[in-house]
Amino acid sequence: MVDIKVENLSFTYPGGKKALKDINFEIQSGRFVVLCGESASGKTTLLRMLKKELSPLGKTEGNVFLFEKERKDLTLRESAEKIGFLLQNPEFQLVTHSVQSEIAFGLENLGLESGEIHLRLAEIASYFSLSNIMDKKISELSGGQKQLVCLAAVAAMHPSVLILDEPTSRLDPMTSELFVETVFRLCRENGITVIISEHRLENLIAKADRVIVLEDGKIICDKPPQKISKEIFSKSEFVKASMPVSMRLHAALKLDGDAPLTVSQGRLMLSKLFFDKKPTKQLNLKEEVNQNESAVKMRNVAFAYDKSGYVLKSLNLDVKKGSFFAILGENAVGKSTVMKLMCGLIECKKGTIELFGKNIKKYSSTELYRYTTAYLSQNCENLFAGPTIREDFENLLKSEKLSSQERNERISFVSEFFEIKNLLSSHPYDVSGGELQRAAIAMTMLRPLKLLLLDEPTKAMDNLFKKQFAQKIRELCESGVTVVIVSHDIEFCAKYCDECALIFDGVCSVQKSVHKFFSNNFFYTTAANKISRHIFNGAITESEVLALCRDNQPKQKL
Amino acid sequence: MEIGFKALHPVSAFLFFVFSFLVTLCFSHPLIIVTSLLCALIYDIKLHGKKSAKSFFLFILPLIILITAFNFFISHYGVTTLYEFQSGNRLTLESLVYGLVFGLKASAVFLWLNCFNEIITADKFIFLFGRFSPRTALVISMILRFIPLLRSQSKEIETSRKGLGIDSKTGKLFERLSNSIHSISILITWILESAIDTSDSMSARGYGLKGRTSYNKYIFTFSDGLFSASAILIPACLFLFRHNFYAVYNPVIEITPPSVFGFIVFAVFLIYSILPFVYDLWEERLWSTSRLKI
Repeated sequence: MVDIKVENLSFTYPGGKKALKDINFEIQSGRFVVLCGESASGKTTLLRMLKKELSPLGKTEGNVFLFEKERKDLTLRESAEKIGFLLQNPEFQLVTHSVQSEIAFGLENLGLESGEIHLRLAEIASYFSLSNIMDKKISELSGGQKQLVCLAAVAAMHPSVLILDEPTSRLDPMTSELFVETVFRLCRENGITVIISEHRLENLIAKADRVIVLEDGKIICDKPPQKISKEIFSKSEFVKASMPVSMRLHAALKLDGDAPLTVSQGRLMLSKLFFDKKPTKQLNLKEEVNQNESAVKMRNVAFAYDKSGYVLKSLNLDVKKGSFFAILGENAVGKSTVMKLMCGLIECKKGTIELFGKNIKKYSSTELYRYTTAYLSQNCENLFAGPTIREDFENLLKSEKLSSQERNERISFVSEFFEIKNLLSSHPYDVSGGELQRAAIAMTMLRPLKLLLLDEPTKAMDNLFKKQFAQKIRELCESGVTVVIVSHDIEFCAKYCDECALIFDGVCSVQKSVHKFFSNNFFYTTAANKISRHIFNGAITESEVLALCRDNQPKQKL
Repeated sequence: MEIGFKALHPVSAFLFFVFSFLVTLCFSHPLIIVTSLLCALIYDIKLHGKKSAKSFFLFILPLIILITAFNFFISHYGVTTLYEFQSGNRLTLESLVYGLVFGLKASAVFLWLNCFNEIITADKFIFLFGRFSPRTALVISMILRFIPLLRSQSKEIETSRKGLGIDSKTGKLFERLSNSIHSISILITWILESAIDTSDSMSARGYGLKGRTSYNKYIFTFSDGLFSASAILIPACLFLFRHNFYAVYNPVIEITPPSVFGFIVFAVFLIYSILPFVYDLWEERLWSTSRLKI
């Protein structure tokens, strides 16, 4: 049975921007399809074309068939009931004030009787294990729970097709993995067809029956993931950066056969390569110790938000000048608290914090925020008032008493440095999450700052974007700025940071250089390390593993 | 799930409160007012514990004294003069007593309202409203969702901007002012943006289709029936035999001492007013023992 069939679909926005070009595909019932591509490649437009109520206005050519009916022949009731659609931001999607009424909302729209709604609620509560939050108000839920309630509310309508547009872009990796797992279960156990677009693909690809890659409004790949070949890897920068490490290694080593999708398959691949001989060359690690003085020095810092208990008990931390430093740890372990303490957003009442050798309490608020440090929270759209990004930049500089020429020079300097010149005249809501993040950092660097604090900067970025982003941060560090990030993103930290600190139980459990940190861990480490540690010691990134493979097997022309 | 009065059907609970308000407002007989006040106080303490006792001493008592004093010094009706000012204004026993009765009445209403707030939650209120206008009920529910969201968002905007020193508390007066204006403009953009997504989410889930129903999760049980019936009948009796509880304070105080029959009606009213408290106690007792027997 074919649930979705798209024939020669092209779409042009009223402004003349061609978003989709000649799209063709078919999706069988009960499949799990991953749609990916860079931001602004047309993912959202394509997904919205499949849902009648949300289709954008513009010029459409070609046909969309849903359940073997042309899209325009599908009634609104059928579309509402059979096609579930989930948007990015759970906050905005939730309509009513309580969990129960939210799930009942769609069912009421369909005109079901109270008895039937009651039954569906019972069913959904037990399937999604929502019983303990069923009586709660929406405002009491965590971000992950909110997105789960959105999913439950759609699932309660018994859809045949579920369309998800970057549903986890606002969640941390652990929560989003759990969420994706639930979606996957809906597909496998109940035969619901799933189309999901995502920027975080490492864990999703292995689950997919098919991966569709969009580039500039065109489909450049439509295959089962294990069949994605090296040709596609060499053709698309996006694919090269986004696929799981095992697949990337497989493609880079130019091996034949199906690509390994998971860590265990990746391990098997390396075992086969080295089955008859132990590798002779190992990673030669030169530990460069950063001899600079400390930018941030925290000693025995304790903090509690209220009398309910300590968040931090006795924290010691040293961040060297000019380093790219990552603070890692579970959710709600106090990572963001550490950052807010570093920039004086919250007051350190026990212990001492020194910024560049001077106690933070001795800084005046102007000196602190205008000339020393800036803290970028997770939602950088909160910084921009519009109507254009340039205007926000100018507003920030107003208090500096600069001549208009100096002001323009600074703006053009940072916008060139961060490559956001083309964004300056856009409205902040019209650019992608990753771009906005970069614009926000550019905004902070309009002032001569020495310490930059970023809270989860990579949340809304795909891997390709992360790479470009990290390059910019590295350049910034080389120019003497210290950058501290809070992150859940192990792969990013391993690849690009200098030092990591892990916060647990109110103290800093460990502070080490990235290599030492990750190569000693068993669970809390990168996929490349997990794949290769039975062969190589201490390789934590894909490029290291690749180099080692090549060094050890020169004959096979790897 | 709740037990006791909180677990009753919203209609029964609502009827109970409405008639408690009505009786308290319409009758001026001290017996009725004092009974109503005491029962409300007892139930309020049962619901809110220490907080209620505290608010009784800090708010209710001062309120009674204030209203009494206010009436005593402002109104000069009545025949029994207690003191006469040189200007000719008199302080009378009648205005003192009426002030006191009115003060007691006001605090009884306030206490019942306090209980009402605890028992009739937003969910129940929306359900009751939904009977008359489902659309209004949905709007109320959406507003209840939006208010905390707005609050947390504006807080987030302030923290985000403080990290760059552009919040409403950093800088000179003019800068602060301009920063606050920017914060507000960001908030408004955010509201508009969120409204687009919310309406998308609503139409994606079929809002606007014909024949929308409204979900009723409350089951009307036998005890709900009993409650509703007594919530209507007992106050009705009271109104029917109101001449037994006749009281005026102007120009002379005239309070009917209840007859034997009137006393029976009063006893029924007493039972009615204390019912929420007794019902809660009884249910708690009932369910506290069932675990022990296993």
